[in-house]
Amino acid sequence: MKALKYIRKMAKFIFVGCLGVILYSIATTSGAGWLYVISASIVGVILISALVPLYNMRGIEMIRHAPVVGTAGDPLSCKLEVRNTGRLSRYLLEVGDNFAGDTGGGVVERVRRSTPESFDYTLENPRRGIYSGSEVVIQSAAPFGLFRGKRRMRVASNTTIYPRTFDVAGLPRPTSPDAAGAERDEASEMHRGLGGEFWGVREYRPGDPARLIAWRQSARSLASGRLSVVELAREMDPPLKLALNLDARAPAEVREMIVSAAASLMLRALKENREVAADAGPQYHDFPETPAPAPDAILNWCAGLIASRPPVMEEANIEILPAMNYERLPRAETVVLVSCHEFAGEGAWMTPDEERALVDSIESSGQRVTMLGPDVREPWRIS
Amino acid sequence: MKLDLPELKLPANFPRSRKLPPEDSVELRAWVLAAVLVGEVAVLASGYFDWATGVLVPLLTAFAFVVSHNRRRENNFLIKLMLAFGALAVLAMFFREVLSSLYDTRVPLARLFMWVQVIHAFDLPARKDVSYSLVSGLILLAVGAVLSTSLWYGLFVLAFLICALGALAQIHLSEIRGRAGIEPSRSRGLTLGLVLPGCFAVIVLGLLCFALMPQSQSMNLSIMPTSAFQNFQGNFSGGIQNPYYKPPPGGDPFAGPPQNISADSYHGFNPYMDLRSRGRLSDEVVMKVRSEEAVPYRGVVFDEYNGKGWEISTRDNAEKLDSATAPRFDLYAARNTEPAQGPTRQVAQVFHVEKDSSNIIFGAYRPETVFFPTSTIKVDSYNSIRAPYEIPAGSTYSVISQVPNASPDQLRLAGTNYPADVVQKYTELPPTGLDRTRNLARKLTANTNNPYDAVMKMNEYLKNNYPYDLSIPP
Repeated sequence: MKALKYIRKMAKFIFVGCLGVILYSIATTSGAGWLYVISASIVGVILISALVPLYNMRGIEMIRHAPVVGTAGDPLSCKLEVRNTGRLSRYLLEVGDNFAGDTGGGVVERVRRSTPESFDYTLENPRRGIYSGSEVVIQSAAPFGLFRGKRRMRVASNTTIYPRTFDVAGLPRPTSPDAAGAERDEASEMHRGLGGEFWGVREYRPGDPARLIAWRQSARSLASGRLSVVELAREMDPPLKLALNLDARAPAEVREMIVSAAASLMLRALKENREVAADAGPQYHDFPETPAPAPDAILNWCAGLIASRPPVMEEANIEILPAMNYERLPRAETVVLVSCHEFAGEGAWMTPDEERALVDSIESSGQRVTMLGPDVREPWRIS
Repeated sequence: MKLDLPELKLPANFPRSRKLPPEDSVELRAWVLAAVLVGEVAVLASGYFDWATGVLVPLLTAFAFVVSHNRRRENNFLIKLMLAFGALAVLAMFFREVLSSLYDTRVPLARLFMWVQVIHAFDLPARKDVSYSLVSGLILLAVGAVLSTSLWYGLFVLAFLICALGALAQIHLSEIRGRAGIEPSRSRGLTLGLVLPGCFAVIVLGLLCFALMPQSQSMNLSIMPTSAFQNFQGNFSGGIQNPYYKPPPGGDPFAGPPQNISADSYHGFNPYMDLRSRGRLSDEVVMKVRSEEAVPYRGVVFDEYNGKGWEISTRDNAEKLDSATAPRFDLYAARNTEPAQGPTRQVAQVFHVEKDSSNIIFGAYRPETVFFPTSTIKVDSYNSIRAPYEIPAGSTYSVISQVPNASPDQLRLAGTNYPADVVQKYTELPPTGLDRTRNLARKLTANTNNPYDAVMKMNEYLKNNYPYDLSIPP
């Protein structure tokens, strides 16, 4: 198979070479001198085709212009600028950009010395993540396409691809019968926020309103260059605490859905002015500070999530996890199970029957369970 | 009654042909068309084809390229059907022509290639089809190279190189645009920036390769080229016929005043050679020879001097050679010719007659096999060969010779014990009046001790002191 691929890659050269050999052998038997000239020209074409691609890619530099943020699955328009620092123009360059989990690229027909050329391309399906750059593959088979030279270079550009989010109809309420009866009175409590009552003083963080700066306190710590702000309190719903299980054994699409669901729930919670907290495993202790992280901060945090060990968050309201075999059942009031087989078919995870059995066993312990597959009907409701 | 044919089901993994996307680049098609036209003109310029072919083939090719571009997205079933019939007609024409010229299939093949190219050009929807046309153009150029006998052919090679390299660059551009999903548009600076410098580099490297490339001058001796067969039914005398010289009145050319030398034919290509004749030959090329090595070609041997010129002692007497495998004649079958002596080497030659000429068949001494397009030839005792007809312009024939390969040292040691008939024929001198010649000969050969060195000395003297000139006074 590998040999076949190699032969296919070299097919043009083999074809032209064979033509040259055939003409040469005809020349030796017919005594036609011009056939020697034609065969020699074919050898010349082969040599030039082998040498020029190597030279053609020297002195090429790339600059990527990409949006600072994007959303997974939404087309991302980028632009690559190609510069030629060599003396002679470069021709017929094929550029492939493996960026944000997708591949885009284009063709540059000619790059003159010190006259950059650029081309636009769209990454149709970028993947969630925080990207600082990626590898660009530049290829050239100029001038005649017989041989191909390839060069890889790293091109820097900072782009964050947020997870895909969907509308959430509402957040689950506490399951305790008492709480359900007197929902607002008992579940609501005072929390740090932007209300009117004094809560305390803390160090300034970017995004804090200027009106809350405690000038006197700040003046005292002028030598250290730190500002202090007043924290106010207000009455809020209980915080939304999410536990995300990004099990490495689960298919990548399932982990994506877990992050998407978590991001959607957290954005909904922010809309309801609720505190949010999330844990995605031992690696992720840097969740944006409460009480009111900006939506961008949450999406940024979600963008950086990768597979990790399960989180230990005993007080989580909602636990989102792939439908797989676990030593212990989830303990959160609400459990969101993401079906693996619906995303990736059969594999080292639960069958549909086993998933149903898992749902039944969780429900039997008084917890709410929602199954999530690839199709999410918006607005999404957690049962 | 209903005939049910079994349904043919291919395996799922059986490779199926998929329709290739149409090639939209006009620039690419123009480059390929230019290359194909150069290939066609290179073949047509060989002079083997009539004017109708010379006009029709390039015009139809250009027309076909336009049609195939305009209809690149169509099914073209009707055109394909017509092309299939056209291809069959061309094949029939090829077989008819090749049967009349079995020993030289070059011209029928060239004609076949050209018409197939024209037919193929009507259906070039995809890039791959256009690429095949380019290869076809290269084949035509190679065919032209085989037919060509002129250095001017280099211009065709150069022109084809430029067009083909332009086409290759455009094919590559079209490929990468296709991969990137870019619509074809006019390429920027490709010709001046890439194709022409690339062409120059290819020429330089090509010349270097040409210089280093082992080049055998040998020819494939099993089939040698000849032109179309001409069956001669009459009984020819074996004498020399030359269309440029009238037979002398009374039969004796030396009885009257000498004839003037015809500008288009050497006066020695006659049954006699009148040394009194004067005139100038034109510079027109009358014959081209492709030979494995530079060797002198024998046409007529005069062995009798009569004071005014030379004659052939055997007159028209020559041995008739019929061939069952015509146009091939094996001269070992001739009984009354000079025997072969000493070591020899084989030299093949192909003669292209450019102007109407005498019936002399030239060939390096000693001819061994002759490929001449007729059923009968004649050969005299000196191995001079004659055709039954005056050889018309455009004829081609081939000769394979066993050229004497004796080294100077072998010739020096050959001795002077000549056979009696050789002594009688070649050493006869007038009894008186040669004192001056004898003295000069003695002077020239003073320091030699064998006939070979003596002959070489005299040869050198004649070369240096008597330049070849037909315009000297009688």
